[in-house]
Order: sequence, then C-alpha cells, then structure tokens
Amino acid sequence: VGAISALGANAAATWEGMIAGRVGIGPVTLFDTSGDRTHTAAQIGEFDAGRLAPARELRRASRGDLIGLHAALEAALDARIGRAGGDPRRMGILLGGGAGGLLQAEEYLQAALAGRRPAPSRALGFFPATTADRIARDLGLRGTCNTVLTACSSATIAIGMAAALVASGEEDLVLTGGVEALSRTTYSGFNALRLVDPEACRPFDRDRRGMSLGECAVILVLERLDDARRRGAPLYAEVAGFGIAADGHHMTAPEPGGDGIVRSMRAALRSAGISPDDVDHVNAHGTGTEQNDRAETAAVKRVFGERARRIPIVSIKGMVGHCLGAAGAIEAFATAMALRDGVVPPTAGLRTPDPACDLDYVPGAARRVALRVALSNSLAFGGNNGTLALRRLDA
Amino acid sequence: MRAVITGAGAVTPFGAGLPALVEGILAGRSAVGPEPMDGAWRRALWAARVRDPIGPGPFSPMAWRRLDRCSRMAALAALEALASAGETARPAAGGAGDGGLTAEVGVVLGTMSAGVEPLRDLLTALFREGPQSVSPMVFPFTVPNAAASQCSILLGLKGPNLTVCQMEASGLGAIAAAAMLIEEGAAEAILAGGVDEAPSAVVEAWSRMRILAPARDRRFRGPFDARRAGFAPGEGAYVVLLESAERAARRGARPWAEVAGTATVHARGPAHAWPGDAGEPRRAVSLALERAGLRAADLGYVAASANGAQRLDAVEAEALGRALGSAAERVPVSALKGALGESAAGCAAAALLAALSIRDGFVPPTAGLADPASGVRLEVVGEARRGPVRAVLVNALATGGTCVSVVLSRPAA
Repeated sequence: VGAISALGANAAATWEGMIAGRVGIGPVTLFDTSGDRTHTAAQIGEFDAGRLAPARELRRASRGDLIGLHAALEAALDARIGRAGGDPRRMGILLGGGAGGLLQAEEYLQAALAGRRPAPSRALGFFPATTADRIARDLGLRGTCNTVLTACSSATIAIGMAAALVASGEEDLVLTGGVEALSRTTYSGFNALRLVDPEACRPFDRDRRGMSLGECAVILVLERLDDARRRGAPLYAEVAGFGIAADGHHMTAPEPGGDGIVRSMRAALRSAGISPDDVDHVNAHGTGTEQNDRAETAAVKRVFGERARRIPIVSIKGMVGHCLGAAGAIEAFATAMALRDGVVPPTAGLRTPDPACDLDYVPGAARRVALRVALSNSLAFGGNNGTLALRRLDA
Repeated sequence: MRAVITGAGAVTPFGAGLPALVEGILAGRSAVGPEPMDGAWRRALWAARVRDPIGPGPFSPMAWRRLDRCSRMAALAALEALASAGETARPAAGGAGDGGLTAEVGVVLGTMSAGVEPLRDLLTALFREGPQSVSPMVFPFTVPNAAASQCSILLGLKGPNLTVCQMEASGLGAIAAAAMLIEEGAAEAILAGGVDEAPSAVVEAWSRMRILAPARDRRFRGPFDARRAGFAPGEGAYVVLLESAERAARRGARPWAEVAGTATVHARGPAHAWPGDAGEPRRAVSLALERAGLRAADLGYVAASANGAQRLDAVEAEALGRALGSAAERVPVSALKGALGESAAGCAAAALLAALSIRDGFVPPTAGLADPASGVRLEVVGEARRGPVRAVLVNALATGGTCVSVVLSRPAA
C-alpha cells in the first residue's frame, strides 16, 4: 500500500491518524476560497515532490500526477515489486480518477480568459487518464492501463475491476486505488449545491451540515496470494468480491430507500460467495449529507436486518474528508488495515446521532474488535454505486 | 460466460442512427469538414462534428433540456442499441425511465471529453463573476460519468454503470471492460461503447501544439496517406449491447458477433504522445488473437486505429505488419478515422461496424486516403468490399501509451 492524505504523507501516518481519530480538515490554502460559503477541506500538507521526476517534468505535472506518483512509489516499494523477477508485461494499473488534473487546467483556462497564451501542454493534464499513464510509464508497467471515472465511487469500482483482472489471470499484478486533488471546480461546485459543511463534517450526526471535501492518493497492489508470499511482500487483506449497481434515479441525490447501494452490497456478497451474516464491519460512504447518511443507513438495515445494529459502521470522512474519485481507495485502505489489525477507526465528528441514523457508528474513539469480513461502500453522482468485500487473510 | 453483441446504436457526424452511419461509411464518404475559424488562436483545421440539434427523439423535452451534448448523444445511441436488440427499455414522460424487463442492463462508456464543455461553462462563471455564480445545475454535468449515468436514469437501467478513460482507446476499452464484467458474471447485459465531443478549449490546445491536420489542402488527408499531417477531431456516440450468450439465447436474440479476445497494454513514449514504438502495440494484437484462439489468416479485416497522424499511422502499420506476419499480404486493413475523425469514441465506432460487417458481410473502406504512404506495407482497403467476414481485429492506440486490441468473431452456433 501507499498513501498520501491530509493525515500524512505515507500509509503508516495515514492509518495512525485514523486510529487516533485525528481530524485532517482545516483551512484551504491551495486556492482562494474568500468568495465561497466555506473555507475548509482536508488538504494534503507539504510533501517532497522533487524526488519524483526531473524538474522539467515536474513543472508539467498536475497535482494529481504528483500525489499519485508519490503513493505509487511507496506502494511499489512496500510490495517489493521488482524483487524475484516478475514480468512487467503482466503488470498493470487501474485507477479511480476524478479531478486530479483540474487545479492546473483551471489555471490554464483562467490565463486564457485573461487574454494570455498559456502553454497548451498545460491544458492536457486534465485528461483523466494522464496520472495512470504517467505511473505506468515511470514504473515500467506494460500491462493494462485504465482509469475509472464514476465520480465518488471511481476507486471502489477500479479496485473491484483490478481484482477481476488478477483473478481471471489477465494480469499477475495490478496497481489500483485512486487519486484526487482539491480543485476550485469541485470546491465551488459542491458549495453551489449547498452540500459543504463550513466546519469539519459530522457524518450521521443530528447537527451535520454537509460534507468536507478532501484529497488523497492511495495505491493498493493486488496480486495472487502465492505470488505475494513467494516474494515476501507484506499481506494486508484479500479482495473477496465486488458489486456495482446503478440507482437509475437522479444525478446528485441517492435513491432515498438506498435501493442502488442495497443491490451493490448484495452483488458484492454474491461475488464473494458469502452471506450477510459473515460480515462484521462496514466502511460507509458516510458523506455527512442528510440524503446520503439516511439512504445508506436504510440500505444497511435492508441488507443485514436485525444484525445491522451489531455491526460497527464507520465513516472516515470526518478525518480525511470526501476524497471523491479516491474516496473508495482510502476507505478500502482503512478497511484492509482494520481487518489486519483488528481495530476500526472512529467516525470522527459524530457526537449526537441523527434519530434516523440509529446504528453503531463507532463514535469517539477507535475500537478493538476481531474482524473477518468487511464491506466498503461508495455512492456517487449519477447513482453509480459500488461495494468491495474484503476478507482478513488468515480467516 | 461468453459476451455477444446483439444490437447497436450511434449518433454520428453522418447523422443520428445506424442507417446514416452505414450509408456514409460504405459510400466511402468523409464527414470531416473545415472548421469555422471562431477560436482566437486557431489555425484553419478539420473536424468531424455532430450537427446540432441532437434529439430529444422520444425522450422527455423537460429532461432533455438539462442535459449536456455528450449525455444527449449517449442516450440516443443507447436507446437505438436497445431497440435494435429487441429490448424493452423506454424513456418515461417524467424523465426517469422504466427499465421494464431490461432493468438489469448496465452501461460502460469510454470518454475523454465528457464534462469538459460544462466544466468550461462553470469555470468561466467562476473566474469572471465569482463562486456565487457557479450553477448547481451545471456542476453535476462536469463529471465525466454524467453521460453513462443519464443513460441509466433516462432509461431505467440499473445494472453496473461505469465510465472509463483510456484516451483515444476509451470506447474500445469500455467494450473490453464490459465483456470482462459479463464473463466474470458481474452483469448479464451491458451497453458499451464511447461518447465524445470536441471541446473548443481542447481543440485550441491541440491546434497550438500542431498535432491537428491543417486545412491547407482541398480535402483532409487521412489514415495511411503519404501527405497526412495530423488528425481531425471527431464527435459521436457509438454503443453496442453486449450480453451473455446464454441471455441472448434465452430471449431468442440472434447475436451479430461475439467478443472473442481482448488485450490491453501500455507502451512507452512521452506524456500525451502516441506510442513511441511498435513493440507493445504488436504485442496487444498478438495477445488478442491468441486469447481468441484465432490466427491472423482467420481475420476478415483489421480495423486500424490510424488517424492521419504521422507517427501513429507509421507505428501502427509496423505493429500490424509484424503481428500479422505472412497474413499481412492478404488481410485487408480498414481505417475509419478519415471518415469520422479521432475521438475516444472512434474506436467504438470501429467495433460497432466490425460487428455489423460480421453480421452482414462487408469490409468498410478507408476514407481520406488519396496517395497511400509508401512505407505502409499493408493491404489498405480503398473501397467497400462485400463478402463473408469471419472475424475482425479492432485496434486502438492512444496518446499516453495505452493500446487496446479486441477480436470480434462470428458467434459460435
């Protein structure tokens, strides 16, 4: 695994921050928010980009490219890619993307609107395939290269598809996950929809006022278990199954009864060959908007019935913000670490639960609990739902 | 489970619908025309534009007026694909569709431009007037998955819904991804293909990078032409209905073709440039053929990715020559981008026509080819040919390095 988030510039710091319940949401300094209704987000702190590429390349790279490469290098080192052979022609990349290149594209358009002539190559970094192309090139991955764009469920679906590529034998190893950078577009867009909390978001809380935006790059390395063991790579969790299902309902609002995410969770259980009774943790989408939190709570109740109240359900968005196209990646990472370490992070920001949200959301502090199987849910603009089923490796 | 193609739909620079597309292509016409000189920095150049207005057809005008162009093109193509396959999904008066028996159908679209025009509108308001002028109606259409999502919303399609970007290989990559989801059992039926428009900001940037064909000749010099000097941006939506062979048999639908083999590889090269050498594109072709269990000599033709760019066409010609080996002398090669322009959806158009060619028995011609380049040792098809086609290799090479090859073949009886 490799990660860079508002909680830290590597996977260990990000996970330790989550277990400590640390809130990474603070003032936005990447761009001017003085005209917006809100001024906070989970922004990544300073990090050393100098080692990632030659200076000339760095100038052309977008913020998404830089954080993506940063996390990919950590993941490649962690997984010991390149040790004991391995055929780069059977190694691919399948990322969840979003607005990773927008911050630079915005500057291009801003300059063009002002009548200047910005370098045209600056405009091309917004193409959502750019970050995956760059990582493939820099790491020498010569198999599949693809980027999934389903807004806030991009990375969840990408990880599921990547697992299918490995399971089917099409690739030996796939770098997957997601990359998302803060941008003026998403910041002012979600503000225009009045979905942003002026302070750190409070998922499932009675007094919540919306989401907090965030940014991160999280890369997971997927491969067959025996390959990983042979190379001595660290083992985190197994991708047991995945599900994808559309609401077919509305562009920005989830189906109120959670119908789409119910079908997505059930498809993930089916694909993993397990029953709802096997699941003992859910990493929720939990954005902190009323529509999401209620629809998702209803969906969890429909899938798990009476057991729903006994399953710890966590939203990490009160700490790392809503990382949109990469949200599913940092949440899958948190889910895998929870399975490995037997500890679930808290739902930071939750103090007084919304009466309509009456499940066990693990308020306050992280909790030690033996876990075998967990789900990670993502909902998205357009009703593009996705669910991953992850399993503890010795289970 | 094998994935078969049982229907298709398109919105194209030749007009909306398969008949307009097939007629234009088989006549050897090109939809590439000169661009109006409306951009401040733009040189005279070519493009294959889809003419407005698009739709609404049977869709609700109330729902239609909210949609961006890519969503409109995709929805019309999706509707035609379902109808041509004998599916029952229909748009509903209130906007949200009733999937009926086809509610299980998924959507996988490839695009590199969906959302860019709405994004430009949003940012223009943001930079000129400030955040308070950003429209909550426009923002949801800045996400690239709006088009695929609108197909789901308008037609009530509740299966897996996703959008992928592999630059100019996106549409074919979407078909390959959908075939994988069906083979893995994650879905039984998926509308798959590509949608793209040519946003003015992108065309301007490309034009200033001098990678677009200049409009200095009387006509666009396209794929494999000796005087080619760049590509022409294209627009359109091209969608096929993929389903498991079992589902098609169950409902009595006759498959046009089956997805026999797919391969995706990544080639070295500079950022934002076409693959730098023929090695990896050649490997994608060989892998797709191997996975299909076919030899090069079994191919009725090759649908090439060539678009008129100097390097792309030369690299692909070398890759195809090496992958086809001795069969290169006999297997015809056809390239559509002289007719339809280059886009993330162009390779889906090639796959759609390949499925039709297997069903109906033809090889589409290469429009925009006047003087064949001497270095291209391939049997490039000048005029349409008639005759049975057993299998087609569809090739897509993309800037950034991704190469997708897909073999479609006559469905097993």
